[in-house]
Amino acid sequence: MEFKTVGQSIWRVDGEKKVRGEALYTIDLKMEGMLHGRILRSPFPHAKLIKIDTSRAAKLPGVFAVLSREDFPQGGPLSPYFGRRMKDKTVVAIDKVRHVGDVVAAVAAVDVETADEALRLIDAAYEELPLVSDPLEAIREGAPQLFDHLPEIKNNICHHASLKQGDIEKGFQESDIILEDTFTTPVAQQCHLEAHNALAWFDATGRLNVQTGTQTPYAVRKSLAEIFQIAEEKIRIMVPYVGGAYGAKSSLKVEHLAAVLAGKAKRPVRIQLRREEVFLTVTKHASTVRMKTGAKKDGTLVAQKTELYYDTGAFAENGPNVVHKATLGASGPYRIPHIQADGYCILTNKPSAGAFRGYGVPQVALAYESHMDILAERLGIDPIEIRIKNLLREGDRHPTGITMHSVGYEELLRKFGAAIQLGDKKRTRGKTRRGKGIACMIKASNTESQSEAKVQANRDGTFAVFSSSVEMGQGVETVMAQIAAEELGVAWKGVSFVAQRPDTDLTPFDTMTSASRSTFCMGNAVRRAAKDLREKLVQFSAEIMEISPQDLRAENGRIFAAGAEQKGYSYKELAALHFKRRERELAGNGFYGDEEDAKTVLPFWLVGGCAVEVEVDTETGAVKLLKLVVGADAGKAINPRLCEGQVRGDSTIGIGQALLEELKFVDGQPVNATFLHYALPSFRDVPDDFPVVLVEQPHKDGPFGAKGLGESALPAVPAAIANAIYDAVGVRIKDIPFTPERVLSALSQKESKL
Amino acid sequence: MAVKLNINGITHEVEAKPLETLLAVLRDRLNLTGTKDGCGEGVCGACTEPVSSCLLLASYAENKGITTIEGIGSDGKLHPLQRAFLDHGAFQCGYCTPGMILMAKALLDRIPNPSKEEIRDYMAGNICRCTSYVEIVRAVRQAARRNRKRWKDEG
Amino acid sequence: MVNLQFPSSLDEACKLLSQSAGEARLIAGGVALMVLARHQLFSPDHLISLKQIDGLDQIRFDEENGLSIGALVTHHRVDTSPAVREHYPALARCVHHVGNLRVRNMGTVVGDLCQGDNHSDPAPILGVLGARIKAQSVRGERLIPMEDFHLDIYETALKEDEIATEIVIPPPLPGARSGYLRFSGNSPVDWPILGVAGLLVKEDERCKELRISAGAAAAVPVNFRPEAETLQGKKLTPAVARKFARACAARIDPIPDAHGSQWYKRRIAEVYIARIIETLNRENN
Repeated sequence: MEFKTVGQSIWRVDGEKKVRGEALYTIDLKMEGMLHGRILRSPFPHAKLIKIDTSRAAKLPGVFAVLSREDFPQGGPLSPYFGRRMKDKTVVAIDKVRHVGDVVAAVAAVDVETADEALRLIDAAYEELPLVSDPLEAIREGAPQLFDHLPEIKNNICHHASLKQGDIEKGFQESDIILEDTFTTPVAQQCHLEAHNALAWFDATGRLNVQTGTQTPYAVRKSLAEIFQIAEEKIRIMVPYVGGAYGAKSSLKVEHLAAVLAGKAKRPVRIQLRREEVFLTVTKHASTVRMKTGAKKDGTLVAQKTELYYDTGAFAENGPNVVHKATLGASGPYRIPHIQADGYCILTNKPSAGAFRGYGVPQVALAYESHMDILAERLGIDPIEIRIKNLLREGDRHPTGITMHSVGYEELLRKFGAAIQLGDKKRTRGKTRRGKGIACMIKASNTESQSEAKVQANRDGTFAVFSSSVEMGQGVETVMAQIAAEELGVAWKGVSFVAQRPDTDLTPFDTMTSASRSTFCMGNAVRRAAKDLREKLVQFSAEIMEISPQDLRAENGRIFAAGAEQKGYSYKELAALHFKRRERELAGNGFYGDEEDAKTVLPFWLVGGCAVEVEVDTETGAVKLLKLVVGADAGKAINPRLCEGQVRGDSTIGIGQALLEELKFVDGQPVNATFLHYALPSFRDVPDDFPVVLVEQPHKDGPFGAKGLGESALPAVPAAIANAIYDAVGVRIKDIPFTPERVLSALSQKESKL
Repeated sequence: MAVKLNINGITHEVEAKPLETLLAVLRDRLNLTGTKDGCGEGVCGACTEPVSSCLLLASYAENKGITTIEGIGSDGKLHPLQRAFLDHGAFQCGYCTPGMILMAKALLDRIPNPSKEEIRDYMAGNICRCTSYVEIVRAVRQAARRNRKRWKDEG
Repeated sequence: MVNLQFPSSLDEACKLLSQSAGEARLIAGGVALMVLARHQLFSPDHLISLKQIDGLDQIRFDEENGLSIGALVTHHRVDTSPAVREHYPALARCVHHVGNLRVRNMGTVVGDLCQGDNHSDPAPILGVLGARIKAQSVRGERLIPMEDFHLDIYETALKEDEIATEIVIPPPLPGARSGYLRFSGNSPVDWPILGVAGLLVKEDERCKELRISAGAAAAVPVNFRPEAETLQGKKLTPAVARKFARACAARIDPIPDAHGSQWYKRRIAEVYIARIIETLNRENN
């Protein structure tokens, strides 16, 4: 199929603005009379809030509103409760604080200095409670409980997910080789460069308006409606460009505080988190994964039992969904007759863990991809062959019952093998050793989501796409424009697509911009809307040309009678003619997520992996990346350059998680919650040799065969590096990050055993 | 305290607090929001000017010609670096981009023909969380080539 | 409102500092200070800036007196100074690693030393080069040897009323080779876990004088004079270097932290002290 725009690496539609520094983010917005909000946070990881007195703060000149639990009386106009899966969060602490940094009170004042001074005047008294810090301890009988009043939570577990297939004990009995290992990953943080911030105000009609860099404008609207106990339509959420999110900006983060303060102060309020506060707002789930894998001598997988213990911090947030996704995907992309996986989402006194690119899969992929390599080595089978041998293939049934479709693993793995030359063992003598490793991963996109879009023809010949998909760097505005252009049949050059930034008053419903779902779900909605518009234009042409619509063709931005391309009208001419006649909107609508769409329970699988060559310094344990080949199955790459950027960018976060990143807590206190002491990958931490392999196994339901790939590589990166380290120096590291000390310690233990 | 600043060729007289930073003056008083606020501790580089404007006292910036992203390129025309960033997809969310471009410009002003190693070393203090830096290195190399070509053409 | 003063002479600055009776803080580039203030670890009421004092921004070198680096000289200027690169190349290479380029463009070497953070790069190399810090006050001036300058983390030998105005480094020892190696874990741009500086003079293939200083691991840089003296007259074979390194590492008292345990930091000290001797020994041949 020949496409005109789809498949082209056109310049991003937001590109010029961004390189000129003209793109506006929430953090750049100001309003006349705007106040600045600051938050009083708990210094304790677990404590009763005995007393809170804001009277002195309220009297400070320049302070317009102070917020505490006094503002949320039972049965009052404001309800303090919200939460992604359960209403466990409160706008401010009501009875307890559950992590260092938990929100206790807030202040809105004329400037940040005054607000900070007001915070110092708030009298808060706490009674410390026993600390719950280890998730494996937290679930024991008798452990201190974070929540007493929520029926969904017992023994600090707020969700248990389970995946079963076959008979696990029978499976192990049939296995020739059994592996049993425990893998751990620490707390990490998304570290988007634009910190959480929001600007809220009540307008002259009494509606609440919020400018915020959220991934989920409609979900934020809904949560605010629940807090204010008003109809959703009385709230307007607007989203400018977003300076990175990676999951950290889904569902309420600071919008509620800005909004409630704005309501109380009767002035616009802006809250901007400081970097240290961002670290305490949402994180990546730390994990302990116990995996027992059984296989036959010839490498066939037979059984896998997995226990996933995910530390979700002080609140459920996205945790239950993360654990659910990780558990249901715990067997990887492989055919395993006997499976038992149990995932536990566990509360501890740490900041809330939530969505982070990969959504629980990196933690469990470390386990299953390490096991594949251990099996390969013990059984003397090539690491690529053992994977290909066990892959679930097109049409196979995944343990969750979902059919495999558009799963280009074999092609990816073979290309990785060729790129890295796995079999080529070039060992260096002396202090450094080189090694190679590969890994792949599978992730389910989201079930039951909905997206609606509108594509509008403007009277000047341009088109506008109305979509609530948030542009946070992934290029969604560009991809939607390309899809619309392709479906409309307009060539990219000479036609411009204006993206209407998400605005719940203007852009229709979208579940969320996450789970890598936008290309597929919103893409389908946009395609359907473009098709609807094209049909309307054809209908209109039919009227003015007095020809039956069936005899008309829509191609290259023109509508004409078959065989008479020169007679007919361009879209621009048609738009002008239309508006001359009637001031009536000329647009098409498209919806994704109806009953027909929902029949396919899972829209698509994310498919990807990587291959890496490392160099280990055997005297210090330091790991250096020499080459990293990353890849994904795009279905159909709408914009190959954007796809490559996404896969490489995703992998770079993977490098950070594998080698550098750890948010440390000692007795519940964060130790390195600042950019000064949290190591993020820099220019010098990524290899120069960093190619991307894109394969395309078209998805039958994706727009032009396309599907998402924003999270397709990261989950495989730590496992591939673990495999490469083993190849280099013969030690198996099962805890990330692979710090030099961990590697050297393992090497020392190995030497002392010899 | 009264501070006289020269930004993009224009002199501004602002009333700044003693510890007010150049970044705060640019963004809050002069409404030049192209320079971004990322971490406030000199690490991420979103505020690159090419010093860490989040740490520089506004009074220290007096009598220094400061160019912000708003002063790069001219009306309608993109600077070769901006063009190169677009060609190579050297940005995604765009938040680090003004800082990256200013740092790259400082690099090219100093080392007109930098190797990949030199680019990585020079720009190591600018963090990007969206990309892999590979695209940025390519963009800077391209801009350097275009610069050299322009100088060659101009004789 | 913070009282930020800009004295125009050193005398004026010393007077202001003395009058403040320990309450005022000095500010040069302001990098360290601004970071501390921003983290609300320190709330300055009175700051005395050295920015407008003439003569503090000089790098001066001559064969007789050696090198002088003024209090306002940035890391970047030391890194790129032709005089430093020619006569003290290890110092130039060392300061290249400090922070990032923006910090190097703003922060001063003297300021970095006065801050007293033990994860500082320049202290060890300045130590082996025999540097001294000139401290001035209303009571006069004195020269503090680098080895005596750092007392503890964030604590220097400077008195409350003293201003560090320059670093003075003696002319290069004839035939001496110096070097600086740093280990910062998996990322070359991270804080140093260990920074080791060395200076070696050989005679007839044998060690005539060896100076080794290791920084970042303990509270202050550690010099290994007694151990180095035992190497006088010896050939610095890999075996000798390793034995020496082991002895040094045993004496170091590393602070365990997020970057490594005591065990690990001692191992790194052993590895890197051996490596610096290897490097210097090779260059000498």
